[in-house]
Amino acid sequence: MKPLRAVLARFVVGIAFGIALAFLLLPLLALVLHTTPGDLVAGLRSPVVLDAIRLSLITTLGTLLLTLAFGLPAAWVLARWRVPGRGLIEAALALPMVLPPVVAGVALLVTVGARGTMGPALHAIGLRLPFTTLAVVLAQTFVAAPFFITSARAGFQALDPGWEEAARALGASRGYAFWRVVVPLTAPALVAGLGLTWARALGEFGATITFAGNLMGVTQTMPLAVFVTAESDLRSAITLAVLLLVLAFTVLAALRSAPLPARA
Amino acid sequence: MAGPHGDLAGGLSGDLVYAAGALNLRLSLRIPPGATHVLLGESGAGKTTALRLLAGLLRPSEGRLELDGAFYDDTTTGLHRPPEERSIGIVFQQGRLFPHLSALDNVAFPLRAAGRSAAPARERAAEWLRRFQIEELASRMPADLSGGESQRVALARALVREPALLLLDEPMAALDVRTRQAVRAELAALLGDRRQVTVLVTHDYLDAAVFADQVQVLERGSVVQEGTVQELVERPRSAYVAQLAGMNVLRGAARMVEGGACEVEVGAVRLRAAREAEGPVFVAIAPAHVTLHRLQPEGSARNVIEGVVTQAVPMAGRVRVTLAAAGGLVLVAEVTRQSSMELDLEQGTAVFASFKATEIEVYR
Repeated sequence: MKPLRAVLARFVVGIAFGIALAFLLLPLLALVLHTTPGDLVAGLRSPVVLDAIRLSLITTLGTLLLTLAFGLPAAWVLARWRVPGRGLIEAALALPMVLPPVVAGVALLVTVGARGTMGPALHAIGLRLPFTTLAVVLAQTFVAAPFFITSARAGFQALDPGWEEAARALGASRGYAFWRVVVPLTAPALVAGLGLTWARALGEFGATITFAGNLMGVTQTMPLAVFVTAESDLRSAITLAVLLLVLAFTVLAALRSAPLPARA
Repeated sequence: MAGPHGDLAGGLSGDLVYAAGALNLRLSLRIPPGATHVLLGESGAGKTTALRLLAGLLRPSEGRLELDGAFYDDTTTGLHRPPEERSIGIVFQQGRLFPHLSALDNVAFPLRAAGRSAAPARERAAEWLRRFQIEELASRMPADLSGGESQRVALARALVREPALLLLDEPMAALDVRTRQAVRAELAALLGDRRQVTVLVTHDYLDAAVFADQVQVLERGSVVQEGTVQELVERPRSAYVAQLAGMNVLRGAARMVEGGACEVEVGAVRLRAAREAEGPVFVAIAPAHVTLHRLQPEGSARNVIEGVVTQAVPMAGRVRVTLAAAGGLVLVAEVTRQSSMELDLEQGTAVFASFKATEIEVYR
């Protein structure tokens, strides 16, 4: 009796697994099967596609720099300082990860948009953010930076403070200890966080189109270009879609299989 | 000889108080140059806190610290020099070699941190590895070093800047017993001809015995005894030191009797000692001076305590017997293996322990 039930249970679970796999992967597979290498090469000649790729690379790089500049200190403070209400702050920081991206876009509009809270102040110093490339970077950073902060904070928290103390007691200033000991020892968490942030920024759509608009060459990143061309120029849409798919898969696969440095 | 850190009158002088939570640490240190000072204590006694204070990782609640004429801490003026402004080197319990740096780069780390460029720093580091005869380890990563090798590299790293103060935090603790002996002897030789002040914290009595010029025993943040290892062993002032030194130490009240002797009341037992003493005292009895009998022994010059064997541990050529006597009194005796067999000692055996009045140390 027992063996038969066990076999049956395995069968049912196996089927469920197969369905889940098929449901998640078939559309992606269809996307790849729908195109030929010739189509891809031809698609890459389209100005819409080229502009979108260039813009996506520039803006996601900007997002990474912005995330590092502010996310690294933020993660450190959350991991090592005594911050009152840390739990609430961490929940708030994670909010952009689960918020509908359109809501994030609207939030940015009412904050730094022309008629937003800080709009007049920004306008006074000659800064008009909406419908600029900078706005794309802000939208991407807003939704993607929390991935890095969360990962980096966890990495810092897991690091024995004894390593910093050792570096300090051997004559390192706080800064030297951070860059030469803390960062190398937490590199796996930092790199994983950057990878996730980059992948999320690359795929950013809702916040960007709401806050930054959809201007070719200025704010039209790859996902926006896919959306626009899907109606009129399916070949370009599929080229960009396949490219996004391959890039995202590469990042995720690299993060999973990278041999993490040994931690003593 | 005048070294790079001032004249011979230097050394370390400090009075430090550190209070945080349950710990209230009070230290008073006077260490001449070249001397090794050991802070001995159980975990939680405040040893590591003491080292962190000396390293500048902690700010004292009160007090001052001076090393070779330079002030590092003075709470009356608010002075607190951070670790990187102190002339210190440190060896940690588990080596704490940075796992992402080779042995050579680990040794070069303090020089690089102080702003030296890579090439000269590495050259100097290589020199230290040669001096310690471990130059073949230079390119190895810490994960590929044995415990003993790690501690040698760690010591080279601590000394590479020729600090005025060397701090050693249980440097032997992470080693297995056999390596520990070898490394201890090696460290002692390496430290022997240096002129910096060395402060070693440990719970291991052997570390103190091998390294210490002077020992302070820490208990719950306070120094309960201070002296040379010899003084500690002969006149322990706490159960902890007594146990480390393998001595029996009892507390009692002494009363002078005729003939330059005294009687000490220890709980329900009255002991006779051939010393003059009065008032509250410590009584120390070496286990080897205690003899055991199955029948009440004769002779008035002997003190006799009746007890029950609670433990008999065989050691090389002898047996260490622990007795429980009336009033919670515990006494350790060391007898030859032969007499242990003759007496048929095992757990629960009722025996009489005796020792001569002349073999008791009585001190306040």
